[in-house]
Amino acid sequence: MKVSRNLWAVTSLALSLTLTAACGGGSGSGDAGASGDSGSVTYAGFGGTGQEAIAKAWLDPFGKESGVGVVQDNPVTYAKIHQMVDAKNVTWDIAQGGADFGLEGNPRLEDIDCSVVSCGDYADGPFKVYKQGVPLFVFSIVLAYNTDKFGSNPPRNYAAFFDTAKYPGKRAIDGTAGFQGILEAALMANGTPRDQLYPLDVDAALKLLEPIKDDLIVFKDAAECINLVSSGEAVMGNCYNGRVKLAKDEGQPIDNTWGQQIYLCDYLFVPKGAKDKANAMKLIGYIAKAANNGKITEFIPYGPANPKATASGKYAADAPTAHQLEGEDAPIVMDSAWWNANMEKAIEKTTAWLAG
Amino acid sequence: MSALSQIPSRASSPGPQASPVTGSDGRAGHGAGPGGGAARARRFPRSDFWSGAGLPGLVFVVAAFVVPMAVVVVKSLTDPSPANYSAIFTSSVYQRSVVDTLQMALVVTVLCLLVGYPYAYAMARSGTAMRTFLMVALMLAFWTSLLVRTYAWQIVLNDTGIVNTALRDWLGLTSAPIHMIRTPFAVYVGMVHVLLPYAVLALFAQLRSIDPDVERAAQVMGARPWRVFARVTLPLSLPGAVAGGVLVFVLALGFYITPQLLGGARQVYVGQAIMQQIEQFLKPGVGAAMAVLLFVAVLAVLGLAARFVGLGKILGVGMGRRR
Repeated sequence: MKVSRNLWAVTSLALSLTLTAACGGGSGSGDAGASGDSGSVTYAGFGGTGQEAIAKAWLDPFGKESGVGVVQDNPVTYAKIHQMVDAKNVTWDIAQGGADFGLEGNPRLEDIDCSVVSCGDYADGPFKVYKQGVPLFVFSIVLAYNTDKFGSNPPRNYAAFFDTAKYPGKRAIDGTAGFQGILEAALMANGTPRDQLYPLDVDAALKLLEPIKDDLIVFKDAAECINLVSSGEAVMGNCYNGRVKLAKDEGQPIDNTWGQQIYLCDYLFVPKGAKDKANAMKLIGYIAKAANNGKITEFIPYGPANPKATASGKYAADAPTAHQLEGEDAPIVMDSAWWNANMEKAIEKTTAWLAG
Repeated sequence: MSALSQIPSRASSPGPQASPVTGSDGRAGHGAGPGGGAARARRFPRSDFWSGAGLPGLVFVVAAFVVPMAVVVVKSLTDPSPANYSAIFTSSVYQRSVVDTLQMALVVTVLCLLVGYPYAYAMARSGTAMRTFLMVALMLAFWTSLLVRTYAWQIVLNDTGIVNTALRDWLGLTSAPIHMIRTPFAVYVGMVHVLLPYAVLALFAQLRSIDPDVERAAQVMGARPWRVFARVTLPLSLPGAVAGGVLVFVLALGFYITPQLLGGARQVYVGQAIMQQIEQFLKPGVGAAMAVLLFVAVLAVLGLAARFVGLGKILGVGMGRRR
């Protein structure tokens, strides 16, 4: 059923894009053909405030400077990219997503052109340039807590998450991604050194979660995390840092620790057979450039992925990259290669564990 | 998914205007025209005005339901191979989801019939004004967006929701919240709310078709009201109960949104397992195979039920004549 729906979605998408093109790129943010350079790039992200920030920081300015029209679409699903490429009807020139899509030898992606993109800048950062993907920005899953519950003695890192005696109450965790990051945190709280986490022993980690199993609220949508923690239904939870900041600014009783934040990075990649590959590389190069990559901090509390970029925007102080603690509280960077190879098995195991 | 489980009903329902299948809510919304088209087209050689008028409906049914379903079947066998089907049977998540789904659909069906029977009985036996009121009350819920209703249940059933707040702060009956959201209980509540009209309408149609004189005759012969109900009304209404029950059961098998929003991560139903294969594991072939098996299960249930009460009754085809 989903297959046919996607088919329709792709068809209607193609139709609407054709119409857009015919009407002179009405919904695009740049004005195609205004200056010498022409062409049109379709950028697919995840929508919402995240994509708005991306548009303001990079897509709109790029359109104005280069004269290339930028059309936006959302949401990205990997299944959709598969279908586009397999049907040889690729409507996205750039897609945003995680390293879990497989960015080294993915037959459905183009290689990144490092003569256009400053790949070398990333060598010292936590996130490398893959053969087929360029880091976009850094966000993180933080340990968020309800400030009414633990006002004076808030959790510092995941030791608190597993300590239900000192920090009683429910913990909200994401049940859809095989407990990505949480398994690592469990092993670390139990004394496994950081450099010996992988290959991850899922069964051992689940055993460590066993004592707090009844204290877990397992959510399926990231927005639930904020609701659960700020309403007090859960006293702490693994929420996205940007959403915690937004809720905090709204006056909700929620805050987060930066200790052992689970570092995540979105990447940009080009689906195989993209119609305007050249301009796609140009736009990726523009976004990745050290001079531009930090601009995202003006619009949303995400950090630049290019370690040479400076972050000076309004949200710079709230970006994960501004809180790289040291020692045991340092950010947890997951081994995406391991997760790519084992995600399905991990989901099977965690789902079985939850049901059991 | 729910639309999938409705394919057989749409394709073979010649009188959909009177059918409870074609509600105006999102999942069943576009059924009104095409069913009629399919039935008319069978008599197309006689080539009267109406068979011509039904042709667009037939085209729509083929394009919107037959072709996509064929694509799904083909995909399940070729993307990458028929081994998709054996992959299903080695997936522990899928096996558990089948058991959970059957159990959930069964509980929801029983609840719908228990709640729906008295309601349908009241509707069938009351005066015009009361019947109109009961019908409108039922339909109001039916016409409200599925998403809105499901989110409303979230607000009601949350640990900090209306029910728990009332119990604790206003009535002082509980100190800790009663855990309802993200449990099978919440799924049952939400699903019964969505599917109840299907059961009520099927029961109502059957109860209305019972000749009041039969009940009166039993009374004249000295039967007490309860005995009249148990020996006359109830047996005569059973085909309606089977029809409504099968319809609810079949729809519940493929439900996605309500369990997704109200249920916990501890129960994965078939709809969610299919979604997971396609979106998360990027195995559309395995997802398609699961969808095909679900479709076959639905056909099997319908076929089995048809032996007892006739397919037309389940799909509400006969109701138009009786009203």
